[in-house]
Amino acid sequence: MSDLHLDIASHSPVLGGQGTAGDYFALLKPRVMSLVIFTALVGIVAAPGTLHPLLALVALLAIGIGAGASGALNMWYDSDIDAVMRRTRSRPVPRGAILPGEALGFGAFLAIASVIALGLFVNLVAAALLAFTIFFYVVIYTMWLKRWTPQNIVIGGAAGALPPMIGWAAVTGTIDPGSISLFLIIFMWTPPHFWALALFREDDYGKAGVPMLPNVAGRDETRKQILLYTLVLLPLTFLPALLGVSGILYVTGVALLSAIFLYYAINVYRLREGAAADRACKKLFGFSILWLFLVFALIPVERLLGIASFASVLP
Amino acid sequence: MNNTPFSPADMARRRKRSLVMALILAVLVALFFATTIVRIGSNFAAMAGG
Repeated sequence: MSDLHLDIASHSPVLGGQGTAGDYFALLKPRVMSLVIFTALVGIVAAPGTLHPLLALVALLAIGIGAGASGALNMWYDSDIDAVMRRTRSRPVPRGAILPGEALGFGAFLAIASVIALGLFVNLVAAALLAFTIFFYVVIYTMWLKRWTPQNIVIGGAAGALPPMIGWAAVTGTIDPGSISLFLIIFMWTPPHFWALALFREDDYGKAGVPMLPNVAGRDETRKQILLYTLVLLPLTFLPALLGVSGILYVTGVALLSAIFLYYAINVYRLREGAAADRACKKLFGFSILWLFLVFALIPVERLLGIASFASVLP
Repeated sequence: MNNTPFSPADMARRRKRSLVMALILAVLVALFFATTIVRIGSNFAAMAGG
């Protein structure tokens, strides 16, 4: 190897350009992106009206890329705290594979491109909602709320709740009560989901100086808040049926799933010491992901099976 | 002397990344072209319908 190579190698993190395609893909937070695409798809399916399959594909792609751009911009801004937390320290920016400036450029380009594509190929309402989602996640949640208030994920949850509304708007070009009901489910689901994670990763958040509810208000208060939010969430889950978005299969499935969710939330509230308490939090966290997936999956499953929504059977 | 500031391993990684990017761009061009045709088609249909 030449002297130049030796010299450059010692400065390679500063030089940049070291990230692989896989590193850039990781910047998009693929797991979050897949949930966003899935909930947006449910919004498209649930909306009254039809969308050409190719336009639906482009809409989902733009929404997914927009969500990924938010993830990249979040990793750019949060690289300092990501480096401290066990859960996030292997991300491409704290690992040194991608420079913060590269993550910023990548995220900003994808954010702008995804909004323009959605506006040009689908409609302006959907594009405006996507732009608002990216802005809310990056500026309101990441830059402001996350490091400032233990209510960070309560308010910031709005960004994660918007994709079904964007999918719905891609079909109708409007914001309707039905799409708001889907938004409300994810919005109210976010606090119990993230607080369950924060309870068994409290030290991680504490080390990074992120004011999550367990470090600020204490573990008992967090357990109480998880149960309270669960009690508000579960009745809200029936709202799509009341608004005629879904039918009898949805109601039956949601009743069953919600009973299990409540059981796990009560366990988190009840078990406060030792490994059992930790286990209860992990079970609620894991089940909450499955719960959201299944609740949203019930709507397209109903459509596939030809089960009528209450809108078409009610007078 | 090799004048590139990157080692052969770095260059291989960059080449692979460029290929992935080219492939994604080609797919996007095809997708957006097809989408444009669909949109133009629906606009014509709307005009013909009155």
